[in-house]
Amino acid sequence: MTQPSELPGPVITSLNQPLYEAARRGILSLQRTGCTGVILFPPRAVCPKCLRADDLTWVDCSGSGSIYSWTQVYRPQHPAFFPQVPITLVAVRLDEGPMIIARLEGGEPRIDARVRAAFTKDDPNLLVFALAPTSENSSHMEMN
Amino acid sequence: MMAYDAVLAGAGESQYHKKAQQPLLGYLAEAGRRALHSCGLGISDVDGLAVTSFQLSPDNVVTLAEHVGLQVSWAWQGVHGGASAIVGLLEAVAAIRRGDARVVLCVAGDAFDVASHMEMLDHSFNAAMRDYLAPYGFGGTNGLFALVEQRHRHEFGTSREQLAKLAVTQRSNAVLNPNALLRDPLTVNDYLTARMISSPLRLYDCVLPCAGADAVIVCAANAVADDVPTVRVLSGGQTHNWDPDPSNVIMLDGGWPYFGDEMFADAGVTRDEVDFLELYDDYPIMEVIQLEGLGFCGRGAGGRFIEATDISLSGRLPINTGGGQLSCGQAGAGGGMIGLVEAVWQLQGRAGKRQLRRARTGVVSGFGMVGYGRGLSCSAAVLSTDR
Repeated sequence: MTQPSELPGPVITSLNQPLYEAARRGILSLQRTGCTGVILFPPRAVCPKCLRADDLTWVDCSGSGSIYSWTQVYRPQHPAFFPQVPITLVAVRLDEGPMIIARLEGGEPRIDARVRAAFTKDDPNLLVFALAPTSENSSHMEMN
Repeated sequence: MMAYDAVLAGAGESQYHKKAQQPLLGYLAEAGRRALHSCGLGISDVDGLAVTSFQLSPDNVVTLAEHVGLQVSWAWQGVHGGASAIVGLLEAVAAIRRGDARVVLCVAGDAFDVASHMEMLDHSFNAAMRDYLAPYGFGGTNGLFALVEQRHRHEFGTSREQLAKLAVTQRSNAVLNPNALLRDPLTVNDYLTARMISSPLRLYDCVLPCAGADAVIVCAANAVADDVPTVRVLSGGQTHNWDPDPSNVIMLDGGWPYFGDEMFADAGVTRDEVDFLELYDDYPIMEVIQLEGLGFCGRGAGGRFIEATDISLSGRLPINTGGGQLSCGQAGAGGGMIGLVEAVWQLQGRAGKRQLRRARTGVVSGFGMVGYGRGLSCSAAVLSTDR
């Protein structure tokens, strides 16, 4: 049996530090390419179109999006996560375009449900989403 | 018209184990030795070496050659995860055609168990997975392909019952495979009600990480005796980072559509002429996506195709005739070669009790290197008998 190692966490570098600094303030900040205007996730060293580092700018995003897919994880990898099961993971299509896999806190996940970023100061290294207020979601349900 | 100067002549597997009973290099050597023996060659005949193994680091293909005492004129190491074995096969064929080598030993494997496999995914698979997935308790690739299946079901109606047919049929094939780790018969009800791993994925959607290795011999056609049944590599293809759109994270497609039509045209084979498939089965939902991507059915129609097709050993289109990774276990990078080994055995008429009545043309596919959410590398090849 391999001994469980330390809890997995992001290796914070100059590449992704702005993401976590903004998350600590409750803001979802992502890179935008100057040449195409595309918002990127995960963080990159250079623009994937023009390969220039100075083409990328960190911009504050709305943090709003829709659930593209979801799962409830009953068998996480690291034992430290076992008491938290089921862990609800969502793939969120942000209104600005990119897709982010993160946790959903509270509420029942549903494809197309509207969500908003809800980062906690306790663990700014985790991007967390919560269901948007019912007004936003109920109007969507009526559309269906 | 391609020249048929390079052939597949041998295939072999080490014993598979749920927990490693020998060092990684022991598994790789055992598979290689058996593959060479199967076509009447010895280690002294080998002048080319191709290896894929997640756990080989800090060693590599060159230090592996040193370890097993091989002098080679061509050495290749795969980094494409479960797509690597077929990429390496295509590279070996090209090397032989160039005259860089005459007998290439292609080997893939790892000495994982469940715990060490999880450890790798959390910490050392790639930076995107380590930094942006592992901290969430994402459940490894199980969590990611749960997201894929959930979305596939939402868009196309792919059902658990359709996917059950893959797992259950493969298990009945594995009953006839002495090297499969999971040989107890599996029922549809077992599959549908098994322990939840990451909804909607349950236990029998997930491969068992294990220890073992697979190997094939690619050589010049005249390097083996006349009575060795050889297999032709009619064509193949590969795509890496198949969709440059960085927001395509939950994959409903893969890279196969980018080369599938050309691959079948190069082979001179239509899809209807394919006798059997060896698909990369890390999850049943990925077999569905490969069926769609390789053009055996339309996009989104994979579930219904499985439902309507007899995929058993006596059926119209047998799939994963040795049980696949879902029943044999996934020996790390060896999982990318298990279908190739099985295809060679079927085409050579050496598949024992699970030998197909008609095995003249087969397709093998590979898939691997999950980065941020999606698997990045896709490969496939069309093989045929030389008779």
